[in-house]
Amino acid sequence: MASLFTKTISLKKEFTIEPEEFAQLRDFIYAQSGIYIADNRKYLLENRLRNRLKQLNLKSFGEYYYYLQYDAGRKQELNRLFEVVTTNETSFFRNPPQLKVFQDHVLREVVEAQRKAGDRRIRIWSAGCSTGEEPYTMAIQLCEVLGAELPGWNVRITANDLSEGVLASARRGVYTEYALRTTPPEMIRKYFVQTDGNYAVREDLKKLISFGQINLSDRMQLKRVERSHIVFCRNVIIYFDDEMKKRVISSFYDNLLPGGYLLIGHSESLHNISRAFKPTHYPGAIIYRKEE
Amino acid sequence: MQDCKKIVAALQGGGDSSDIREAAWQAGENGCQEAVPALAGLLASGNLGIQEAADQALRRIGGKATVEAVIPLLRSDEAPVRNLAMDILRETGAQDLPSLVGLLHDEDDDIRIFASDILGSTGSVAAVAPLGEALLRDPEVNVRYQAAVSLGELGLKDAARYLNKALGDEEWVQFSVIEALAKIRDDSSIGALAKALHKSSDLVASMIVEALGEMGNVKAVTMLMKHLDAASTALRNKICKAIVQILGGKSLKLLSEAERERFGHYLLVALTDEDEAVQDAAMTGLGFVGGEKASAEVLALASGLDPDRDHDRLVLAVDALAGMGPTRALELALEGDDARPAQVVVDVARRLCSAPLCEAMKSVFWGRDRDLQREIAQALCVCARPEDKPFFLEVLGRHEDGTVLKTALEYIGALGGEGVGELLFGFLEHPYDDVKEAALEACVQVGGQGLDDRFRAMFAEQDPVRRLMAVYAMGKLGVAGHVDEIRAALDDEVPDIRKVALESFGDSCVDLGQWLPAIRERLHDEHREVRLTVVELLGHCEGEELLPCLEEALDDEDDWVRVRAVEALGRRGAEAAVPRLVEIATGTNTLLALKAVEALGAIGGKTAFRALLEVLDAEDPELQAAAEDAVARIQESGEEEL
Repeated sequence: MASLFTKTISLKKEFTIEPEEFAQLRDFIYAQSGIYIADNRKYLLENRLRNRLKQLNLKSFGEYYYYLQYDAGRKQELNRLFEVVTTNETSFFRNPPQLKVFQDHVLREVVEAQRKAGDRRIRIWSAGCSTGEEPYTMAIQLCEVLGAELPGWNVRITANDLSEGVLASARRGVYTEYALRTTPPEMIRKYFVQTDGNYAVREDLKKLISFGQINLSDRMQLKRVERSHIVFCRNVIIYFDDEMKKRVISSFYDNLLPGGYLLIGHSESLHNISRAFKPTHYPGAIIYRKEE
Repeated sequence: MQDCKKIVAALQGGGDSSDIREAAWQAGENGCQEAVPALAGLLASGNLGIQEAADQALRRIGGKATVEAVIPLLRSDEAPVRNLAMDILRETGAQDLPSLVGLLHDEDDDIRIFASDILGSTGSVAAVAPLGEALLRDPEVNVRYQAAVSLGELGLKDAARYLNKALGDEEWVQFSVIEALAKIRDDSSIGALAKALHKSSDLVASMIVEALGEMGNVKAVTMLMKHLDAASTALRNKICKAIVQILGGKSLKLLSEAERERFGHYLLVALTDEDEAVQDAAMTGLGFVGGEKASAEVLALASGLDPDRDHDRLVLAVDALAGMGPTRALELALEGDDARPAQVVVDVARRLCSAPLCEAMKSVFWGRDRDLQREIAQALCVCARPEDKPFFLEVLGRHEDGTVLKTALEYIGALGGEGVGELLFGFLEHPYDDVKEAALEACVQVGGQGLDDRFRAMFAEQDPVRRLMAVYAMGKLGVAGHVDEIRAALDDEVPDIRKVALESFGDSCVDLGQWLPAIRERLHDEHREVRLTVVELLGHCEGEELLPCLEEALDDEDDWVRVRAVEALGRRGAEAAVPRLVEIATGTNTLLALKAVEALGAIGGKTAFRALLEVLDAEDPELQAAAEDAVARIQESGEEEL
C-alpha cells in the first residue's frame, strides 16, 4: 500500500544542510559541472535534495555526499543531482521577442551570407538544451526560413546538456500540451504529430539535431564541438560563478565562426564577463556578435 | 620555459586571431611571466577577442611584471584601453603597490585620479597613508574626492584620522568623506561628524545623520536628540531613524517619560515619510514607545503592505504592534469588514494571546472567509487557552476545511480531558489523510482505556491502513500493554506495519531483551526498509545483548543496512566488534570503510588505532582524512601512549 504513514509518521525527519555539508556539496558540484551554488541558493539545494535523501533513506547531506562518491548507484545519482541543480523550466518558443529577432535577423542574415559565399552549410549549437524544446524550436524556425529549399542545405543543430536524463527525453521528442503553451497553433499543426494526448516532434525535424552530453566546465570537450554560425546558451550561465562564466563564454567565442552570433537568456548579460562580442539591441532582445 | 617561449612567439607571430587567443590562454594557464609584455601590447589590439584573451591572461599571471606593463596604458589616448588597464590594475595592483603610489605624485590630474581609484581596490593598509595625504593635500578636487571614496572602500580604521580632518573640505568632497566614515565606523569620527553637523547645509546634514545612524554609536544620541526640535521635517524624520537605529527598540524605553512622549510624537510623523526605511524605523520605535494612536497608525500602514513583496516589513509591523500590546484599535480591526487589517491583527494576537483579542477572534470567526478562519484557529491553538475548548469542539462539529480541522484536533489533543476520545477517534475515518494523521496524534495524546480498546479492535480489521494506525497508536500508548498485538504486527504481511511495529520500541526501549528473538528475526526480513528499522532500533537502545544482533547486520546484502550497523556499533563503543570493523575499514568498499573508520575512532583501543594507522596510507583522500580525524580522536581521548 502507498501508506500515508510512510510519508508522514515514520519519516517525519526534516533535513537541514549544515554549513560544512553545503560547502562539501557545493565544491563537489562545482568540480563535476562548473555549476556554482551561491550561498543564497543554499535553501534551494536543501529543498530540492531533501526528497532524494528521504528516498535514499539517508540521514544527512554529508551522507548524500558520500553516496555520490561511493555508492554503487553514484553515476545515476550524479545525473539526478544535475537535474536537481539545473532547473529545466523550458518550453517551445520560449521568449518570443528573442526568437523573432533570431528568425527575422540572425537566421536570415546567416542564410543570406552563406548563400552569397556559395556554402550551403549551417551549424547551430544549443549549449544547455534541456529536454529539447530549444533546439527543436530552432529547427522549426530554420524550416520556416528555408522553406522548400531546406533539402538543398546541410543543416546541423548540435544540442548538448549536462544531464543524461533530460537528453533522453529530448531524443524521444514527445511533449505535453504544457510544453507547447507558447507555441503558435499553426506551428503545432505543421511540425507535431498528436499521439495519445501528447505531441511528438516530426521525424524529419529530429534528423536536423544531434543530441549529446557535454560538461561546459570541460574546455577540451567544448573545443571538440564543430564550429558554429550561431550559439544558443540560454539560462545556463546563471549557474556559474564569474570565473566559469568567462571561461564558457570564451569557449563560445572560439567556437563561433567569424561574424557568428551568440544568444543568451533575456535575464543574462555579458557585462563584466566578456567585451569581445559586439552587442546589438533589438526590441526585447540583445544579440551578441563576433567580429567578422 | 620552452613552452613559454613558444607561447610568446605565437603571441607575437601575427597568426590568426584564434591562434593568438589560444596562446594567450596558454600563457595565463602556465603563468608565463615572460609573455606579459606581449600580452600588455595586445590589450590595445583592434580585435576584441584577442584583447579579451590578453586581458584574462594578464589577470591570471598578475605580479609586479603585469602591474609595470599595464601602468603605461593608463596614459593611452583611447578610453577603452585606459579603462581596461584600470580594471586589470584594480585586480592586480596590490602586487606592486609602490608603482601605484608613485602615480599619486604624477603631474597629470587624471593619472592621480586613476591611481587613487585603483588603490581603493588593493585592500592594502599600505595604501591608506598615501591616499590620506592625497585627500588632505592634493590641489585637484576630484583627486581628493576619489581618495575619500577609496579610503571608504578600503574600510580600514587608520583612514579615519585623515577623513575626520577632511570634513571641512568643500561639499563635493564632504559627500564622499561622510560615506567613507560611515563604512569605517571609527569611534573617533562621531565627534567630528557632530561638529560638522552644526555648520552643514541641509543636504550634508542629512548625510551626516544617516552616517551616524549606520555607525550605531550611542555617543551620537544626545546630540541627535538636541537637533530634533529645530530640524526641518525631512531631516527630523531621518534623525528619528538614526536614533532608532542606534538605540534599538529596547533602549528607547530608558528615555525619560517626557523624552519618550516627544520622540513618540515625532515618530508618528516619521511614519508618513516617503522613505520606507524611515517608516520602518518609526514602526520599530513606536513598538517601544507605543500608545493607542500609534497602534492604529502602524496597523493602517501594515494593512497596506503586500504580504509577499513586503514580507519583511510586515514582520516588522507585527513585531511593533505586538510590542504595543492589545489595543482597542486592534479589536476594532477584527470586527471591521476589511480582511487585511484583520489578518494583521490575527498575527499580532497569536503573539499576545490576550483575552480580549482571543474573544474577539472567536466572535468573528464564523463570519470570516476560510483563509482568515484558518489563521484565527491557528492563533487560538498557539495560545492554548483552556476556555477556548467549547469553540474548538464546535469547529470539529461544524467545519469542513481540513486545515481548520487539523488545528482543532491539535488543540483538543494537547488539552486532553474526558469525553473527547470518541470524537477524536471518529476523525480516523476522515477522507483526508492529513486529518486522519492529526486525529491519530490527538488520540495518542489523550489516551485512556476507551481509546485503547478501540485501537485493539481496530487492529483486527482487514484494511491495512486501519491496522497501521492501530499499531502506531498502540506502540505510542505502550508496547507492554499490547504485547500480543505488537507481536502479531511484527509478522504482519504488510512491510509498513512491521516497520511501525518495530518503531514502537524506540520510544522507551524498555524490555527490549525479551523481544529480541522476534526483533532479530526481522533482521532477515525481505524488505530492506524493515531491516534498516531493526538496525536503527538496536543502535538507538542500550543493552549489551543487542550488540551481537548489530554485528549480524554487518553481513546484510544492502550497503546502507551495513552502514547503519557500523555506525551503531561505533556509537555504542562495541569493542567486541573491532575485528569486524577493522576488516571493513581496510576492505574495498569505500563507503563502508569510511563509516568503519569513524566507528573505530569512536571505539578506540590498540587494535583500532593500529588499523587506522594503516588506513592513513589509503589512496582515497576522503578515507585518509577520515582516518586522520579518527586517529586524532583516539589521541585526544587520552590514548596517546598507543
